[in-house]
Amino acid sequence: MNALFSYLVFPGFLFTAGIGCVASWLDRKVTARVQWRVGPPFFQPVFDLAKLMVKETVIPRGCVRTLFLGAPLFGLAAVTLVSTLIWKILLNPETAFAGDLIVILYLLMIPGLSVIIGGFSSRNPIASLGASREMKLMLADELPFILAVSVPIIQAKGSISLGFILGYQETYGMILGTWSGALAFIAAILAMQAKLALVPFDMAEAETELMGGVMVEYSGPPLAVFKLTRIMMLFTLPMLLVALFMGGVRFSGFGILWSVLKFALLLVLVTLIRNTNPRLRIDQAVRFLWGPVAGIAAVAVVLAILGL
Amino acid sequence: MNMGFKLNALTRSLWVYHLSTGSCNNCDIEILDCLTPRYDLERFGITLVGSPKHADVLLVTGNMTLKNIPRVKKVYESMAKPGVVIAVGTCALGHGIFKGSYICPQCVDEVLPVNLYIPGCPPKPEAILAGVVKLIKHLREKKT
Amino acid sequence: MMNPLLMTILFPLAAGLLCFLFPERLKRISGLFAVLCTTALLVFSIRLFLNAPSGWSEGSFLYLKLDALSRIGLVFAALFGFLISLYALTGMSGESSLPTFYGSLLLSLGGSAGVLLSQHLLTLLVFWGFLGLPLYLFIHMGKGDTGQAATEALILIGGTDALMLLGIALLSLSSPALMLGNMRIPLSDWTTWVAFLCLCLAVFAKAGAIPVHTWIPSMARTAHVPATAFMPAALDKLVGIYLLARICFSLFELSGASRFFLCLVGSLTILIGVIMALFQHDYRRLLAFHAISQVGYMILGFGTGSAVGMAGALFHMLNNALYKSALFLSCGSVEYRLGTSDLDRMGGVGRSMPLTLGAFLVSAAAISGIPPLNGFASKWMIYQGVLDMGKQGGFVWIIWLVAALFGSGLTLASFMKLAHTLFLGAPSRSVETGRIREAGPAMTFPVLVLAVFCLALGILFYPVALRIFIGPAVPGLKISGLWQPVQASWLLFAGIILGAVLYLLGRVGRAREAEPFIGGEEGLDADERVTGTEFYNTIRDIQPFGFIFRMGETRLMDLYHFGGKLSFAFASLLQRVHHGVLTGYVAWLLAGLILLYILLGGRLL
Repeated sequence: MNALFSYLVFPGFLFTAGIGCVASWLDRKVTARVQWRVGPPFFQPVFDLAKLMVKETVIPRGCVRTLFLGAPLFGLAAVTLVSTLIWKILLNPETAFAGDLIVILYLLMIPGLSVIIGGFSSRNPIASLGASREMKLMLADELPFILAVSVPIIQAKGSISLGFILGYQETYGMILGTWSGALAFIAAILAMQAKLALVPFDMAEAETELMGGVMVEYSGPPLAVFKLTRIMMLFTLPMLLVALFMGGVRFSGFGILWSVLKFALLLVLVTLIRNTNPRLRIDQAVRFLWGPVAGIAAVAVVLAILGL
Repeated sequence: MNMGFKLNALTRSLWVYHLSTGSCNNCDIEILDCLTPRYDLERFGITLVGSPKHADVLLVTGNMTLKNIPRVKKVYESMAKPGVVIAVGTCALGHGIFKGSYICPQCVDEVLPVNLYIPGCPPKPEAILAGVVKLIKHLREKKT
Repeated sequence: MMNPLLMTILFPLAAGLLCFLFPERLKRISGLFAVLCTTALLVFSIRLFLNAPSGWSEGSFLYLKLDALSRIGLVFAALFGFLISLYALTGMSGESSLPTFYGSLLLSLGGSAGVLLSQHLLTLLVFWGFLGLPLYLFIHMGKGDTGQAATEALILIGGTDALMLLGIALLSLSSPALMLGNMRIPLSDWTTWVAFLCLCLAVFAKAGAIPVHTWIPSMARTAHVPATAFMPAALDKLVGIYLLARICFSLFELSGASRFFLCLVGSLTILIGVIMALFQHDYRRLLAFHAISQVGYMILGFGTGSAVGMAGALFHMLNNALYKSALFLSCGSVEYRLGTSDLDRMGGVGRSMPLTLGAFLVSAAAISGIPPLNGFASKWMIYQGVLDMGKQGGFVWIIWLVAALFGSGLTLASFMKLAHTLFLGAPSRSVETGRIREAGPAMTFPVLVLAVFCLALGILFYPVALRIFIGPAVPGLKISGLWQPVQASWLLFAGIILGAVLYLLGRVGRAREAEPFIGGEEGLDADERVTGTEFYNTIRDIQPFGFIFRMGETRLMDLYHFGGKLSFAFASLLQRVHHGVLTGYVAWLLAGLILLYILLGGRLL
């Protein structure tokens, strides 16, 4: 029962969705300010979701109905589980179990997977193309992300538990402070940008050429669930990086302010990247992520092995 | 959930699908102007979307050509309801200088149930904004 | 009453031989007979599993014993025999030479039981070699150009069997008894090293690892799907990895270098196999390359040398057999309905075959290691093993870890492609015109059972898989602090319920159907649909993908191909000497005598 509460309310579904909405608003507001606009009101993400929830659902004729409607649910369930896991470990590192980082890495694949399955099952060539791009993008960001994540693992003496990595940073200072940590952090941010499907890596949705791409056939509540998953990812992934590289969060005195600041900084960075870059072609994106980004991450791994 | 609540929710986040049925692109450019820093429609939660299935507003410009009529109907059909239709520009309202042409037998409101007409050739962004605000007010009043 | 252990070997062998006697006209009867026999065998194996009897011996060579390791293999082999023979009842109903198929199936069950039970290495080798015979028959039965595939399999398997004999002979130098019991020979000098490598190569050939893997894709192209799902996907993995487990547990005392060798082979196999699979156009070859890639994980797991890693590898062996058979069989059902295995001409059957689609998706997610399915649990254990190895120092382990993690991403990618091309996406012309439906209960049932096993072993990983199957078989395994998926599965389930509640609130049940929106187009022709085969063409030229793929396509990595070239070159050299002129031969004879004289010179004089 306790687990169910923490899954559904705090720090799971409700909490993450709430902060995710704030993060999404921040993202849109910063975008607007960059473009010298006013930007949407604070509750805009909530309004969007509420509106989608009351709208009618339209299903493409001839699709696999259960899969089309079921795919968004898996993504939502997985992202809720990931955020619960990360938060529980952040709040109380003792709850970490050996190898939880691997569980998190694999669970983070499910939201992308659900988008792909949803796109495939909508029986629309545009959605198929978008989903194939999403798949390739997942492939592309996986390599640099794994390499970048292995830097904290190496620094924390080969422990693959998030709780241990947090404890290590408690004693030795944050991993971002080392040369290898800084390089890995750069690679991880770029891979995260791809995982969040933000510009320059939004070719799976590509409103201007694919008309919404993977999600072209979705409407109403299923679309709301997809958007909600995105919003929650926007909170979960930066939090993971905060935990891995920036020493996690603290809930006492100035610690709260500092923790919020870390997250906000990361989010604004992501937003700025998305506002100052054009969309890449998918093969350019793969080349970029496997070339320079994975290269940086590999250098970071070598440096970490050397103990820098 | 009653219709009023739905419409209220709708007015706070209008997602627009922009459909040109054979316009000269002047109206289209003016519509894009509404999204620029000077007018910034996102203040009201209005954004452009790529697929009619996501849309709450079908924004039609241009004088409905013969070839476009079945496609427009299909796009309207695939829009998730409740949704509104806005016709922008003289051509969409009444064919403008193409009046009597063999290629455009019908106006937009003869094909779709139009909720809002915005005249002009092209209408100024201010006019479009004013129209949208009127529409929102109208929808909100409907709920009571 | 015969000893039950002897029964498990002799009964399927006898039944198999009986099957060969069935005339072609009675092929349905032979199928029913085989299903009956495999059912009996399954029940019998489960009983053996529950209360293991004592060993049985006759003379110095025949010594059978059932321990924790062999009983997993035994019970799962019987399970696969049962499911596949059931599947073949409808799946192969149109084919000829069915009695041979069922006969080979039963023979291979008997052979593998022999391998799993024998304690003497020579007996093990006899059964091991015997398994080549049904394999050869299976390949030979297939359609099209079976000769080449059969030859390739025969040469690779037979050749490595010979190497295994050499290895055993070398082993007898240091341990003359040749009993599996507890030899633990340290890898100290070159004889033990050669013996180790020989045995490993035999394992690699049987299970299908780089560089002796090529017979599996060749076989998959021509052989019947149930045959491929049975031998290379399930049984050969059980048997091959069983021997690898024996090598690591009791035959040798692995050193750092030998572990490095295993890890290297494992990682290379993972990556090369999966990259080759990514670009295939024929679903059978695609699955075959995955069958290779997954072996890499098992070898890597054994290479880690830690108890968790080896337990993970054993578990992965079971899992791989489960989901790989499920994948082969579910795709086989689609092929059975459509009559083609070319991905370009398949597609869009998901709506008409929902059960098969569900089973396919579950097993595809399992092979890609999506939690909480079984593939994730075993991969997780293997990663833990790699990390355990890392704690002893050195930094090569990070390469193994990245290769294994990345390989599983690539696996997911190629299965998404398969899901799209086979089941989802727009229907192809043959699907639109033909009336497609589920492939009959005898074909759907085995697929569903396998998928349920994937799900159940994943969720009940800790209480069932680890406690009952894997735990007792791995010496020194501490089962604590491991990933416990029950709670995570419940929470995932709760999340899905939560989403369903959202759907209820949003009244998704009243959904309206509309045409797909393709930019206002009128609806595409079946010829213009997006098949999945081109998905990865855009990244095929990116290095090092392009390099590995081209190497694989031009068969540069192929030991069989290389070996053939080498032996032909050698033969042509000898051919030149055989010119047929008498004086020439006399000259050679004389030269030989002189050489002999010089060599032995001192002593003769």
